[in-house]
Amino acid sequence: MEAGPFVRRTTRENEDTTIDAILSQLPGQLLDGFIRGLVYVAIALGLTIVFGMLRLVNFAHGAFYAIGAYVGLVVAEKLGLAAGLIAAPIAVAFFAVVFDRILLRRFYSKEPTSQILVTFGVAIVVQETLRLIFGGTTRSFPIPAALAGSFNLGFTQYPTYRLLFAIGIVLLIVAVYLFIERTDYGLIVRAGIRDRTMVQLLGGNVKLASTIIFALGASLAGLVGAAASPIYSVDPNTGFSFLIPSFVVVVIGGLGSFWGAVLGGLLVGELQSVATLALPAASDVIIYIAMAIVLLVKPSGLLGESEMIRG
Amino acid sequence: MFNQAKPSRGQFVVGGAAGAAVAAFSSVNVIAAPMKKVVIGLDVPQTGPYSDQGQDQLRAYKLAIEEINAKGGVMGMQIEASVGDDQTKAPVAVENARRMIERDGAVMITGGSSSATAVAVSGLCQEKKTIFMATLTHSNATTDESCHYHTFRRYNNAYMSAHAMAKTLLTKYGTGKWFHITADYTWGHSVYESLTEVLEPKGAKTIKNVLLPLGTTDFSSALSQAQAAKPDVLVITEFGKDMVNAVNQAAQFGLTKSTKILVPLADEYMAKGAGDNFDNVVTTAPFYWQYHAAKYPAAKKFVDAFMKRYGAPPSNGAECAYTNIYQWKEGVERSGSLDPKKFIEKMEGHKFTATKEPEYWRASDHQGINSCLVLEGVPVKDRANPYAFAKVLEVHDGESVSIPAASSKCKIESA
Amino acid sequence: MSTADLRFYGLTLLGLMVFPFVIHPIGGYPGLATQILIVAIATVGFNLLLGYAGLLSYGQAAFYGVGSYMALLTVSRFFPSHPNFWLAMMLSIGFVTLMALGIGALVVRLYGIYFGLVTLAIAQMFFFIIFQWRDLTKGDDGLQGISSPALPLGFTSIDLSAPLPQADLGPFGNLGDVHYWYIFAAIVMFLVLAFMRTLTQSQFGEVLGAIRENEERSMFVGFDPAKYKLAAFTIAGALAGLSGALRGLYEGSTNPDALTVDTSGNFVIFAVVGGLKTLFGPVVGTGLIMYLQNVISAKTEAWRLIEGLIFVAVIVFLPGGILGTLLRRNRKGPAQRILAGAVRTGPATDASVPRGVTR
Repeated sequence: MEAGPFVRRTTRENEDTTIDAILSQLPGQLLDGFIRGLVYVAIALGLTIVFGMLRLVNFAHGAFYAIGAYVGLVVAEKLGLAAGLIAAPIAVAFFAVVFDRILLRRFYSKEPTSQILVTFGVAIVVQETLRLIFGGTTRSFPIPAALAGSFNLGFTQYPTYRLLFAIGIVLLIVAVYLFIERTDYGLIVRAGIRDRTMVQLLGGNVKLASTIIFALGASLAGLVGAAASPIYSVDPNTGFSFLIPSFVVVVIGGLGSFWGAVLGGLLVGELQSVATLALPAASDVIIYIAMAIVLLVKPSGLLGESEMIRG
Repeated sequence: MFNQAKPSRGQFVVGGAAGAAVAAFSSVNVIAAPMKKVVIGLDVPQTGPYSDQGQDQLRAYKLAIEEINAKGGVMGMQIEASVGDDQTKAPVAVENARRMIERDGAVMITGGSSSATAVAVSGLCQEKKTIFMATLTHSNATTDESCHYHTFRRYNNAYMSAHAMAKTLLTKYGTGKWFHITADYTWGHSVYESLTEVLEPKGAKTIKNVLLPLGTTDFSSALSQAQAAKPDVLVITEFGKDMVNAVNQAAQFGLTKSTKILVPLADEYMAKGAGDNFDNVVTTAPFYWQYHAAKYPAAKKFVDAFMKRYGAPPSNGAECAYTNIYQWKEGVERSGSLDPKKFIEKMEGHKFTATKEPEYWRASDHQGINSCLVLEGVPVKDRANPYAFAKVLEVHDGESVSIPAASSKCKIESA
Repeated sequence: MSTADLRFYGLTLLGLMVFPFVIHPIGGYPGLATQILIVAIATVGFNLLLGYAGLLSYGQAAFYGVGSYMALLTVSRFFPSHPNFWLAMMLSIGFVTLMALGIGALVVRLYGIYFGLVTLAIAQMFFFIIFQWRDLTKGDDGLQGISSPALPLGFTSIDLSAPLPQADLGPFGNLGDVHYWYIFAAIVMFLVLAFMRTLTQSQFGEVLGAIRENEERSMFVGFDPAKYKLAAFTIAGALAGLSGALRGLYEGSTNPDALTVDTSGNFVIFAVVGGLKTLFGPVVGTGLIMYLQNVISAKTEAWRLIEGLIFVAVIVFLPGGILGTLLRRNRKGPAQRILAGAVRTGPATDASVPRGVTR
């Protein structure tokens, strides 16, 4: 796996590293960190929803992101970006249902370890299937001409597509919040996060509900994958390179907490960006250090409930 | 003639001797050919960021091998290729080379695309006393501080590109502000050091160097820093798909319009990926099919054969791959032996003409001394075909831009 | 020494002696055999963690990778004027053991899911430290071209990269293709297996099993689960460090790839495919998958897909892994019992309280 898209560093001493220079670059960096943070939030929320329902940390969640990105790419090349954004979550939801019905269901009653293993295995199979179909190289599709320019925000020029992407993700996060807080399925998720046995007592429609919720969590990742691929490009490893920081997000924010995922995601995104300017060599390590500190001080995460770590 | 070869090294494989299982599983899959064979290893990326370049080299290798085999092979031996995908990763490249040498009995390894893999394979080949004809590797290290007795590199290096670009551009941008985005491994470091070494004494100011690992896909952080810094020149020392992503994203930040973009090394695959964003970008290459085919008959013959076979002209990496196979063949034939030592003695200082002007192998560091082209990208509408991506600004004689032998850090092992 | 012991030692030695030659007809070669044994040391250690203690670590690459760096740095950087094989090994294993102890103290109180996530993240942290600390580690280029010092044995010293005498073995290759490195790796592997067998058959192994099956009950009986888990974590880390150190010295090079999530995931795949809770399973799994990676990869681009499919198939259809399933089918034979080594059919394997609910 590549190191992920997040390492930056400088070497020479003759460079302009005055406070003024750093400050002039700060707004762009903060915006950049915010947008990357939003991607983490969206992925972490998908993990959280599925965890609430199935008590399962899904290593294949990154694969959903990658499938969404590739489906979006293929459809967008033929029919345009909007079609790609519609096709991707549908395709990923379909894949998730098949995956759940054929494979994952067998592992509901098994120990967490074998659940993690089977999702890890599926993640590899998906990654390698994508590699065989699309090749191992990075792909991206050009941003539609109307969105390809940059937008003057006053303090900085920023690519238009990235701004629209940020707005879209924020709306998506609001939708997820409403889903969890206002719908019956959301109630199941909330109940599941608090107490696993309560969900099992609900009986009846839990099987259907679990499939639906699993598919929703997956399509969330698929949609983000399709929307993000004009920005970050996509290769078969893309899923993992976003999944790992999202794990850190989940640990920092607290597994199972909506606001934990939001807070953790934005924190991780901004930490990386600010460190890029202030202490470039540490810009990758810093999120792991933050995670270690959180674990030492509050093992259940900033906004998590303590019961969770006994998952 | 071959008695100095240890039997275990399998210097050549006699057909028919191999058992059925070997035929089924091993790459040296000899059925019943009565012909003697010599095995060489092609260690190139078929996946990873530099896979376009690796695949194009593979095409050229196969073309050269087929041509040679059709004309009777190397000293009567048919060339048999053992191929490995190095995934653009050094450990995989080394493992491939080890398998090619230890199991398949390869007497020569060739390949590259990433200097990290080339330098690593070069180290292994030195240990295994096996010839390594490095192909697409542009870091100085390959024939400078990490040079080895068994390694030859004909491709231009970072020092040559830096000096060629500097000579062409200094009058216009020499005293401006330069911002670097650099791939964080031996090649990137090598280009950055070479460029700043030439530019800074002339008054150029280096604002910043942002290092990003091989395989980076999101350049926005570095690009927004560049945007805020308002440099005169933005040097994007990235290669393959990474370079395509970086240049395309630079365009999103409006940098391709406001700033002179330099990409120290490029080929038609990268230019194609960058499309119109490659317009006006300055780069270098050791070979450009359009230029060389028009000037040298041997180049035209090669380009035509390649076009006929694959429907596209060869990239500069493919040209080097093709010439490397022929250089190895001629070296073996001139020394009359597969013995590496005798081969190397015949190669050092050897003057030859292949697809370019007359050139030679420098004895002191095994660097091929040949010309370096400075190119400038043209917009898609001005490209006669999708692969005619640039115009030639200037051609620099190899001698004039190479690391002077006296200041080379190469301490080659004694035979 | 009991008959079972004798059979174990005898069969293990025999297996190690024929291994580099029996793989010849299927496209293997002695160098691959050496690599398999070296890497399998880490997998055997990992089995103690995942198989016996039930702890799924996604961070073994940190110990493996740091082990390789420490060994090569000792030779090339810390003591360049007196490169010593044993010193490199000892410094490397010592450092990694301390590292495992420290990390273990932080993570062994975490359960199931969290344990996996946090070990993965910690390994990433070490990856980036190694990647960024270029003055010491040379960054992405890694350490290269460092020749291993000869192996000092007091009375003499052996150049491990020297080949054995030539002797044609027909379809099984040539004795001269084998280097002394293989013999050394085989001896280390033998010792590691003997150690692991003793360990898992001891009370320590039984307590680990009890903790895996039901942590609360084991606490009531008076064991401190955290201590036992920490011991298992540290031993697994130390063996990964040993494996990494050997790999580094064998290759004469290492690079940050040794610390990636892919590497950690490989250890998981090796152990699960071969068979958890069996002594030889991790060796079988490592051998099978590395063979795929090395030999089949030259034949087809789909080799990693094949690897993934094997892994999923084993999880779904052969929960005991390849060796574990073979042994269960055929429990009676003496060879199987010996191969099973430390397989104890703990009373609670299948009848335990449904996990994931109580924990």
